[in-house]
Amino acid sequence: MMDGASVSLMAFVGYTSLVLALAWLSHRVGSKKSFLNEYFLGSRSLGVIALALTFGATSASAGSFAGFPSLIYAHGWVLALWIASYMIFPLCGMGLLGKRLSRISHLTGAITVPDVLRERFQSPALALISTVLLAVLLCVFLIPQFTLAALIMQQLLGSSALYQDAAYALQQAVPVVAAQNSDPEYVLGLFVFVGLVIVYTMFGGFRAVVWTDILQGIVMLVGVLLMLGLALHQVGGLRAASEIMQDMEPPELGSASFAVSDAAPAEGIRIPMGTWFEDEGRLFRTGEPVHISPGDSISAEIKITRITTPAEIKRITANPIPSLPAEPRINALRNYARGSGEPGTYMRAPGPSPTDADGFLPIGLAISFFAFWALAGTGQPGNMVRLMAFTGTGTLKRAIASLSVYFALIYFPLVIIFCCARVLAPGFDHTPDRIMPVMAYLLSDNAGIPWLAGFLIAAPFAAAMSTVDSFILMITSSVVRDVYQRSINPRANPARLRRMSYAVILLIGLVATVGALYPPQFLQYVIVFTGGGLAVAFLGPVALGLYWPRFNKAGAIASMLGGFGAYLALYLAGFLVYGSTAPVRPLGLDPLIWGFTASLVAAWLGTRLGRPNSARIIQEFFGQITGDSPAVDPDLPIKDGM
Amino acid sequence: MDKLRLSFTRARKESFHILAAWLTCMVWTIGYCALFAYEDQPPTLIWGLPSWVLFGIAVPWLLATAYSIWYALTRIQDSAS
Repeated sequence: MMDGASVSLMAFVGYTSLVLALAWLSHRVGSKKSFLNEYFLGSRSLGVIALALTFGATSASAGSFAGFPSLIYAHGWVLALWIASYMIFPLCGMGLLGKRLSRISHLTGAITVPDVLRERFQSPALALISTVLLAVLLCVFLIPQFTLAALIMQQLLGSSALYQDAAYALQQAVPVVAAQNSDPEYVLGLFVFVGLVIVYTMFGGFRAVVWTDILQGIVMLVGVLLMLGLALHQVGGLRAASEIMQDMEPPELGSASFAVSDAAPAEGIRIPMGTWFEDEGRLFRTGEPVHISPGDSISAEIKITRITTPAEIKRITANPIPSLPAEPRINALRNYARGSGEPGTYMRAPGPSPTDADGFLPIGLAISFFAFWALAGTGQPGNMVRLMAFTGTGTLKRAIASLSVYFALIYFPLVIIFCCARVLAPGFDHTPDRIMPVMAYLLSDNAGIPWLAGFLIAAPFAAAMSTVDSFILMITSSVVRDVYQRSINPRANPARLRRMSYAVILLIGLVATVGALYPPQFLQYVIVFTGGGLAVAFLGPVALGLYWPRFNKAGAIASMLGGFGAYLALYLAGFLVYGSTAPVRPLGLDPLIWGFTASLVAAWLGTRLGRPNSARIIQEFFGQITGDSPAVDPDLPIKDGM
Repeated sequence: MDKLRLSFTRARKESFHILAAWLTCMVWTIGYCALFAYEDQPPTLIWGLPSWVLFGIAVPWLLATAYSIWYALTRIQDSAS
């Protein structure tokens, strides 16, 4: 019988083969069609399932399947409130802009979001500003996605001997590259992920991205539902889990090193991550693997968690805790800033926090996040592009209905699963980022079906892939279409545009890979910052451009720069005031809310002060207006670009 | 009214309805949770869920999903072509 690592490797190889097969198929389907329209918009042929799943899979990044579970595990039920606006997100994200964006992009032949802005406002300057913002923010956004994907790869395949050998061989073959990161398994995971995504994105374009999104969307849904069933069964039902959580209080977090009296033997001493141990009557769990090298007598410091809930200690120590091959030396332990000594804190808002005395989600932040997910999701250029590619309103209507059910089946069950994880896998509070693979292996092993772990861990890997491929293609389309074709070489033939697209995809892959070799320290903050930045920069100009006939070029530029400027200023102020990545939050509200407000105010001011739209623009984008006509300058020339 | 104008006014009307739906969800969820989730006492459990999660999030989520399906399939009008 195969071990878990071999099974995970086989599951991964099978999954990868499917992805590459889809890319090859999409290349064959699209090869006889108009290059730009096919490569970047799939010839605008998305059907219901494709639109719903590509929208859903692109929205659900690696954060949804790695960061979100770790937050649930760390803070409890309050994450249901944190994510609650996903209840209405499909209707907002697709319904607010979908019909108009589709119509306008069909009407003008636009294939990118900057393209739409250029046509609507007749402004190459606005198209250029939006392309630069898009390319820079998305490139930064790709770095944590690549990093998370490489970590997932490492966790998925790291225990396979074949993978370890390959990582070692990589380190030997390319020492300069491998030396940039202390862990060759991470570097190998990164290279495999990047290579795979680049190949299928480059080969198949938008159609391949959408088809793989469908596969990835199905993998995510099936993975979550399987985990839900297994978690509820193994915990003894939701009521049993909640009753245990009612007594639960936050642990203490700290560090420890492990020592032996004599030098360690030739094979060294290893203690796996997640090992329970007792010291002076206190119960601990290791959050990282311990390694004492041959000849040494003490390990490096590792993270540990001390369980403090009496009922939990009794439950865990019901089975004897084996003694360790090395003696622990516990360093200082620290209490949670909020929730310490409060049984049931995981069942209430604002939820416990190791660092913030106000807890994880004060009410001001809860309001911000309700606005954040709906607004930020609607304002993501990656989602907007998908709304330019469907076949008709009927498709949009059914896709909204399908996605509403899809998100309800993904996000609320995730909260239940990882609240159950607090009971099934306690003690990972110091390293909650590992909880997704820990649960996948635990649930599969307990169920006696170890191969299932490979499939369950494929879900977050699929989430990372489906977001990254879309963003790579979006940056490429902006550079090739909006900069190269529209501004530098309007007569470029399809073969040249194809070569240019391939080169840009490779370049993006290279830049993001180098960034991920030196990963930023606060991945989640980078994701939140760039996601919010894109939303405040694009939602105002695009939404007002589609629905407000008076909205003009000056208003659009002011809205984009004003919104992003205010948003960036609050982050910079946070850096200056707190010396950290936390932004300043006036009235307790997130910078996204202030950025969006500034974007609207700047839009109104710019529109008041700027030159009115030409009659042709009004006619072309809003039809024949009767009665209270908006401000129009009938004498303006047709091309009033900057 | 020409077809493009008709399509624009329909889409604008629908966008107001969608924003109203979002606001309703926000008022319900944030309002209910502000009142009942931030208490010091342990929450009552209903079907294993904390009561504030059930009435403040799960129930509106269910209704919002049902509303989204109904609205999308019956109220969003096809574009006049």
